[in-house]
Amino acid sequence: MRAKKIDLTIQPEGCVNPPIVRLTRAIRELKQGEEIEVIYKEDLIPLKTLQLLSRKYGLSLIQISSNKCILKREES
Amino acid sequence: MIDVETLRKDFPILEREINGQKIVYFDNAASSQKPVQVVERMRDFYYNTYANVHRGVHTLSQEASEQYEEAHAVVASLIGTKKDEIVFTMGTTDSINMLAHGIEPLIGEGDEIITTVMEHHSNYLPWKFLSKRKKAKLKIIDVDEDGRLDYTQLENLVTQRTRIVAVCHMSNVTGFITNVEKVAKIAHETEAYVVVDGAQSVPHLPVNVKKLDIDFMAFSGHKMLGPTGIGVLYGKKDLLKELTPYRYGGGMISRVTLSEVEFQDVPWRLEAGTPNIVQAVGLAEAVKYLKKVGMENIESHEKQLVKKTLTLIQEELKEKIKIVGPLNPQERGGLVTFTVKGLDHHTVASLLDAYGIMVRSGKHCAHPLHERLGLEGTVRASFYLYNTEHEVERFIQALTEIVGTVD
Repeated sequence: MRAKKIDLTIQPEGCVNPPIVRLTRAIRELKQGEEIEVIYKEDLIPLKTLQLLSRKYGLSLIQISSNKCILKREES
Repeated sequence: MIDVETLRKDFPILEREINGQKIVYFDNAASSQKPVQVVERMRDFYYNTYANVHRGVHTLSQEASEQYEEAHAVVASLIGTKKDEIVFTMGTTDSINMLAHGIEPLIGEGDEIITTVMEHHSNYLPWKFLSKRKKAKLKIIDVDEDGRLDYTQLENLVTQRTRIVAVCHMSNVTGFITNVEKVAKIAHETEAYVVVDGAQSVPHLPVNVKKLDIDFMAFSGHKMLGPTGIGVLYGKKDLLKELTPYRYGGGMISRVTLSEVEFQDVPWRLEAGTPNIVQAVGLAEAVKYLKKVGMENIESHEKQLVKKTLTLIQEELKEKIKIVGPLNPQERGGLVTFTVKGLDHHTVASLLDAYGIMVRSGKHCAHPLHERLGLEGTVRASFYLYNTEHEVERFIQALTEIVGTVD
């Protein structure tokens, strides 16, 4: 299954639908075994912040590179 | 004093859990939750009384008309006036647009309209475009770094050409409470009309339009326990009579021929068409609820929550969180707006949501104020009568964990 990809480094003009909102919406829709690839920038949203977010939603976080990680809802 | 725990039972939504936690609803400046009394009143009206108002001779129409008219009186009593000075609209934005349209013939080229940099767009854009249409001057009063209004500048800006001074009673960003009485005194040294955006004050503070000596005031039902789709334009009766109707149609006239039109008296001449009848009845029930709790009690309860929030942030998170607005709770209403060092406002709000805490992030429809204060965006926690000190503690605990992720 292809992972959904969300790029948190792209900030849209205006106040509609910022990428963090797209991410939390995608997290809520995430089914068991599914994952989201997240592209981030440490000075915009630190990895520790993403770790807290994933923890709060019961997801695992795997860092792939300095600006990429995977959030996964593990099979129970 | 408010018995919050008992009162919370009237708000079933507060029992809802999100992400495994009971919700903390701190987005009251955007819209409030509704007690069962309001929902039941509207349900009962639909089930037992509903009909169109003013046009029917049958029993249901007469009962509906009586209750719709009574709703004007109930709302009027909250702000110290009478029912013929209350026009029902769709909300604050609709009220101010209705006013800006209605007053347009009284504004001439070179006249002046004064507003402030801290306004919600709904009390800025109608005046901006009115001044553009009429080639009037739009003057803007500044605020200081903490969002306090500069009354001296107002004194200097008001001239004999000033027709309107439009200010918010309470900023939806900084929470700053304008001394409206003082504004009215300065404005009324000339023939200017004083227009007050009461969207954030009427739901939270005791307001008496006669004591404040203001000419017009706008506010929304949905921010004060009432339904959406209903709002209020208060106006002194003689001034409401001067307004050109925003809408023409049924219900506003006493006689129409092909050559002549005779209008009804206010407020009906400004309420053309079938109004939001059930919403008006719901708003009246919300007002009764608020009056039963007591506006002074609500104000003092919210001040306590603000004081606790400000104190905890100052004591525990001062290095990471910057409060927007005056730090003295006496100068502000029931909200706390802030920024977090190293984290974007939407990120903070999204993380709080993961804790079940609902706040608002962005520029809160007050772009000029954010620009003035050099802010990209802010997070706003806004309180109401059903919020508790325990919820504030949960909020601070969550914030502590969130800011702890930033080095």
